[in-house]
Amino acid sequence: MMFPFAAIVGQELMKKALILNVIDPGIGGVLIKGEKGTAKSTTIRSLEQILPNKGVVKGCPFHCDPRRPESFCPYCAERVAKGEVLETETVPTDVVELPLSATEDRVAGTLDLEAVLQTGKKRFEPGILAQANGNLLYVDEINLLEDYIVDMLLDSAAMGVNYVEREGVSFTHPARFVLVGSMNPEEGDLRPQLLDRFGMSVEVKGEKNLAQRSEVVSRRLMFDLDPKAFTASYGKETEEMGDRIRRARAALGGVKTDRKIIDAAAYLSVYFGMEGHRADITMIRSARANAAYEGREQVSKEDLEAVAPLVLAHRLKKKPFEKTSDYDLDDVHKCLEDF
Amino acid sequence: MSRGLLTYPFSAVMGETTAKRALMCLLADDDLNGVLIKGPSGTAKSVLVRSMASLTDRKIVDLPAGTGDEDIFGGIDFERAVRDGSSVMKGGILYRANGNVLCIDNINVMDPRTLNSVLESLSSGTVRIEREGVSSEYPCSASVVATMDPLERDLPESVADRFDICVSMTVETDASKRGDVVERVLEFDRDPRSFAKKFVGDDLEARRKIESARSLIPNIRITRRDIQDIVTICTKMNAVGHRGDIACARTARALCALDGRDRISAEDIRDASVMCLLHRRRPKLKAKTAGDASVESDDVPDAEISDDFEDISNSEIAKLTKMSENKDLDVQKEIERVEGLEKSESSENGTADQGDTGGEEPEEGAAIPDVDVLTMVLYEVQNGLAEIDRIESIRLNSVVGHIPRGIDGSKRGGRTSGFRIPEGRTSDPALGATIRAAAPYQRSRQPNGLSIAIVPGDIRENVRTRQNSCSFLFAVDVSGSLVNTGALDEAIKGVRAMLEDGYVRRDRVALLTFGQNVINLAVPFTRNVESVFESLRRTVTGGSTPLGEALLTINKYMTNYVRKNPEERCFIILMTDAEADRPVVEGYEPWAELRRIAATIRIPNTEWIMIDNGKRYRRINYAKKLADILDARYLVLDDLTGRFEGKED
Repeated sequence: MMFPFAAIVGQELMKKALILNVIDPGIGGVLIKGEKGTAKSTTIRSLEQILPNKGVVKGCPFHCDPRRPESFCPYCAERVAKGEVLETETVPTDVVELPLSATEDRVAGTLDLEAVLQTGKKRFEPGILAQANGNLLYVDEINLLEDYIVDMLLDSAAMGVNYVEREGVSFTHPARFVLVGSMNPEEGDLRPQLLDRFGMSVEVKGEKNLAQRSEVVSRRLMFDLDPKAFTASYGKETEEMGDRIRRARAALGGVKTDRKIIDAAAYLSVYFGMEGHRADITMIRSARANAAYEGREQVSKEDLEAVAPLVLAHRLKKKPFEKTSDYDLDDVHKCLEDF
Repeated sequence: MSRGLLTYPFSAVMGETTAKRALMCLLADDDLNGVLIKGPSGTAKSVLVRSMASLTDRKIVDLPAGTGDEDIFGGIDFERAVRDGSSVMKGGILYRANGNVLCIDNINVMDPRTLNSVLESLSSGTVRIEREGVSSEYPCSASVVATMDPLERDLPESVADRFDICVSMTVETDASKRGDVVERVLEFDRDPRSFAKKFVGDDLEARRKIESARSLIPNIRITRRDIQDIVTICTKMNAVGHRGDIACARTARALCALDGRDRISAEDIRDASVMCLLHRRRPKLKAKTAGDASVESDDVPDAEISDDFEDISNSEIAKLTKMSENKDLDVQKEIERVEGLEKSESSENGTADQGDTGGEEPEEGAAIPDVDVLTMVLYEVQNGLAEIDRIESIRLNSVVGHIPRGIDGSKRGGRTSGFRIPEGRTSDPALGATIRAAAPYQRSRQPNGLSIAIVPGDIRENVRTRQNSCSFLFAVDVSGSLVNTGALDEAIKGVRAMLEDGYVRRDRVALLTFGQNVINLAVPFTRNVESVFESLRRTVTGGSTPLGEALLTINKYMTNYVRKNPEERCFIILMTDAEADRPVVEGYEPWAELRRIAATIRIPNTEWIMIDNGKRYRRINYAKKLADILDARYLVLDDLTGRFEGKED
């Protein structure tokens, strides 16, 4: 049984980053940096409990989203072209984990060997990216993964599509997912170009507050003693969280963003030396998701202030081999005072 | 960026006029063979390239990084082989790219061997494949667009030179303009269809311009003066080889045609020069931004440059002449005349100003160069390029030189880059290759209930490549001499300089300090580079220099390390003035003992680098002598740290 998400003590930033991404996968995923034992993996795996259900095309190996016919996989597209009406069903959203020693063919998919040997025809065997479509993909120790595989994951997450060109097989299928990576920064960082493609990042530290720390331990012990009862005691909270996320998703499209907020985000970007535009765009998307989560119809300065550190932290330029940047995220508040 | 099948419209990309014009030139003139787009992450490089789809009927064909050779060039169509026993080749991505636009993202990360083959095929216009004893070829004529982030890794000059045009994406610093970009992207997100509709008109206009340019280009004459000007500019900008001149001429012509004119203007030449010379200037010019220390040393070896001159000069110059349609114009002579001018001027007064022809009689019929216009154009070109340089980055010059990475053909891991016939049994079979090997023989084999019967002789195994990782051991002398000259900071800077030049993410570093009569393995091998700096900052300096003992310790540690990591390339960076004053064994003369110890050190897979942090002028340079015995590269610390001059730390 999974430790209840609602029972995790503290780590508010990490939880918020994950929740915002669930509300709007367009934010671009979360990179969670932290020492061992800070509940990174627990939190991410437990997220499943509050993820909303989704509708998929029945029988589709890629769980195509019936609301997006323009992104259908070749099989669904063919059936539609033939005039078939596709049946749909509702399934839960999963947290798919990437195995540690994943190879590129396992990730992207490859030639279906069995089919080839039996029928002499080329068939595509779906990989993990196919499984991840419509779900959350969790990659532990992402900084130890080969660069080109991380590239592959980030490409697909950004474009929402997986292009496969391997072993003579050419295949394209939808791959819209929230990418969550976790890593221990002591073991080396990701390339800046890869970092820039993560929507948000959070640094997770162990609880220093004694009271909180004790609470962490006591809750864990209670859970171990009787997982069922403990989980049941958090049932209501879990349900409420799930509902809140569902409502936020529905409301997201209607959230209004004033041009002043956009200017504020742009100002922050320039102040913190952002070169590309991803930071600006992500800050606005995140602020909107935050507003939706808080039940508001208009993005406010507070939304922006809440999400800016998450979006900017991993994009700050550092001198080579410096641990910290010259920029200070506490300046965010100062910058926004004028708006 | 795309939502389903809808790509972001070309005209919706804000700003980036140069990049957009470059792409339009590429679509207007098939003779232009490529555009290279440089820029930091998140500046819409890929978006712009994909958006070309709205300007042309030609397809935008992707060449993803990491694609295998089989899929790029092609191989045996095993489905057909199985079906009717025929050995027919099936083209790969390049086959689909024929007559279309080929897109290579992050070209600087691509395997260099593969990249070379791809560019070769494209420039020759044909792809030739040989597989399993069958040869085949197919035409491949495509326009290429490539993107890269120059800060990540530089593209070798020989590769960059194959692209006629190179542009740099701008970094927008105006907050209000940035806000506009965000608004647009959000709009596209909300409703891609209506968003696209808003730009249909502009896209159609651009398309029309391109199409009319295509018909205009054959009629545009490049005059003698145009060629003179172009050649002058290219020579002044120290462009290597003649490809630059020709690319400039073609681009100027395309720009002119896109504007609906039939006579090339000075502005066309200026804009074309900025587009075509960004990536072609000789290193000496670029080095002006950082220290001038030994730039000649490890940059493009001279042999490569002169090859370019020989190979290209005759045929390409003939092309230039042809383009001008003026048979009287001998381009070779023009180039020489201009180069001759420059030599005579610089010997006169050091400044090369086009106006002074040094008393040479203008040739009969030669246009007298228009002093004002050309000077102005040259000035603008220089400014334009300098601006781009400044924005691109202050790339620290490699004083040490790039540490060449080998391709490690290890069996351990890494991406597949091909296949081969295994010796004996293999644990890493290449499935596709095996099937393709078996396919042509199906007719004559027992099916055994399968469509494809595989025999042991068909089995192929994967060739995996991964970049060599390196390990750097810093052995730093922290003895008394350091304290006196306050050079611990210098040492730290030196370490940083070394790492900046050679360190790549997966590499490991270690720190050993000696001084204070103590040898201390302060930081054993780790990926955490920070710890080396932290440790150095905390180091207590002083005492004597037990250099001999340090060498013995290093020998032991590294021999052990190399044994445990046989495929790692190791570097020992010894930072000392080698003024040994403490022998290992009492009574021995330190330097003599040191020489004997050094002579016995032989660690496999390891290169030594000596960084001399002693005073510049000494009677005896022990550090250099030690370097010779160790067969080490010898550097002076001041050269390394010179790059930090003028920067506040």
